Amino acid sequence: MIRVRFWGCRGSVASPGRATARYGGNTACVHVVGYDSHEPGAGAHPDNPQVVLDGGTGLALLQSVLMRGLLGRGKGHAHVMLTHFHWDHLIGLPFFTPLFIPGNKVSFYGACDQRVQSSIERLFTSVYSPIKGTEHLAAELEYRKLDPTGETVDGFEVSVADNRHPGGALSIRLQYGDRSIVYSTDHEIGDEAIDEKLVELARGADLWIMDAQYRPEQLARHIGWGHSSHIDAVRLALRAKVRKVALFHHKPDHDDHELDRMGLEAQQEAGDHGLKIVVARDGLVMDL
Amino acid sequence: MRGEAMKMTIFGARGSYPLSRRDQLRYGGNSTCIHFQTASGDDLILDGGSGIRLLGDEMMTRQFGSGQGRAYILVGHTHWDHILGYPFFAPFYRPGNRFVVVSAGQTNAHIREILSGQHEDMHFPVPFEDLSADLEYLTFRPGQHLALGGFKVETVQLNHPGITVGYRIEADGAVATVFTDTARVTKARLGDGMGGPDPDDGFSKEFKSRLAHCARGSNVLVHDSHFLEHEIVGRYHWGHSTFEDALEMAHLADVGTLVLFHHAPEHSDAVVDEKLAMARDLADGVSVEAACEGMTMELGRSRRPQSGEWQADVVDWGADGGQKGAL
Ligand SMILES: [Zn+2]
Ligand SMILES: [Zn+2]
Ligand SMILES: [Zn+2]
Ligand SMILES: [Zn+2]
Repeated sequence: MIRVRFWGCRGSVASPGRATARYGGNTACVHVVGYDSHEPGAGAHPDNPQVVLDGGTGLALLQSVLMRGLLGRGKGHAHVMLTHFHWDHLIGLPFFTPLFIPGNKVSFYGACDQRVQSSIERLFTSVYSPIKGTEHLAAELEYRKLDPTGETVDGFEVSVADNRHPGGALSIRLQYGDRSIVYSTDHEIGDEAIDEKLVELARGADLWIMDAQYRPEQLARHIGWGHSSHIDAVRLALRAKVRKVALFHHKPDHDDHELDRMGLEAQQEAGDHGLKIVVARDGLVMDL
Repeated sequence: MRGEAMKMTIFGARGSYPLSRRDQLRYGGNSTCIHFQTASGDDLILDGGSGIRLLGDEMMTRQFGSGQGRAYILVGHTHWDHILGYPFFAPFYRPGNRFVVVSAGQTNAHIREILSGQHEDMHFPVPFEDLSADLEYLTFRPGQHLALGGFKVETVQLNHPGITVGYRIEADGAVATVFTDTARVTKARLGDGMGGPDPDDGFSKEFKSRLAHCARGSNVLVHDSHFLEHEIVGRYHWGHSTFEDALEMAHLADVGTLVLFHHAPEHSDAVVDEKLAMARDLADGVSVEAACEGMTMELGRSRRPQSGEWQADVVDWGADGGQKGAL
């Protein structure tokens, strides 16, 4: 089984405040845990197989959970997969506590190992960070390219496909046992060849986490910015016959009421095809 | 609304990184940004943490929305929490607006490189060249005095990794001093060029009195209060203070109001409430507040206004004058 917990669902920049209190204002970070037992609470064990998707500001909330496991004792190995290298997906990493504990290992994955490494190093350079360089981090670091032909990471079968996004971004599918989730943040729907590959990647998944930054009328003014509307997301999800969609990468100035409305509109668009729509929010847990 | 005096508004009070938590709604989760406005409407911004996005939205409802705004931007330092909001500052994308970015450094190219680095195509979809407002740069050495339009500004290097600047900002006869990030100097020396042979060489005392001189008689001192005493042990080199350190500086400098600032991301509203209550218990004549998003203070006349012989080292005359640059 898979437990998914959302820690940051915003795009672009963190937008904390009263207007966004229910859905949360942290930028992209999703924790995916695999577990086998049916016993209650099995999904919550700190040392289950697990993967972190993106390192936005939500990571600051997730890290306290991770620290309860082996990572808190300097015996852990964190797997952090980066869809791409835009700041909103990285900016939680400069204060990621497991990096400061000797004995830990942190593996960063992305479309290209050199770009993963240069991004992480950039975050810690002395102009931007008091740490003054990754050489001062206590944990062992590893930079890896996500294999486009598929691989296994901490018990998860991982496969990827390219999004349509300025500078590129990856969609990541994680399969654990017979359960699967697909994470497609930062993708602009509309290029049929790319969309078809994503539909193939997502086919039959239990959950598809999808970029739904804009309303259609906003999208019209932001063609080429690399994000989608909630309506387009639902239409693509119907093609892939997934069970559930989590609308994700919310626009920073969309308040809670706006996201409520977008959720209802998306569910309406899904019609009676049995597709369930969830608007992702910080703290949301889904057991699949 | 313009009043009789300089107005200070907090748009981000959080340190280290912005964070969204339901138990932090009162003090807010945006990272550092403070806005100053003189009675005659001159704008000055200190720091571009995530709070600057909200300030920018407010400014766009004024003359910045039609490309007729001008403002000074003081760069405290360039750690992420203090700059990550600039790419989301809407007035930067409106042609006609003019900004003077004021920072400590050797060359204008240096700060431009740091700001444009946030827009590298690998990390941000909008190139720096798309900032259609007019950005100018003004650099100084910490310790120098700056005349910026209607603002008289004094500068001092703080005790924080790299070069971090504390600012004394005077206008309309009122003074606000801001020390966003600074560590307990008796425990660590962190700023570039601040290393010294031993802890008893008088440096600590000299350093504190330099900061106190900068903040002397301020109506308001906004000061780093990141850690609680039990948290700072072993973390002196992180570059932050406790509220006790902030109070010590407030007393040394004889300020009217101390505003506790740079709240730790781990601290809920209840913890900041507690920090504020403890600080008030020890305040001994200083009034104490905790910075929260949206907090506005109208600053009355300073208790110790500037003496007549104040001399600027760097001058930007503002909208009316053509002259600019180091004297
Ligand atoms: Zn993004
Ligand atoms: Zn992106
Ligand atoms: Zn800071
Ligand atoms: Zn700093």
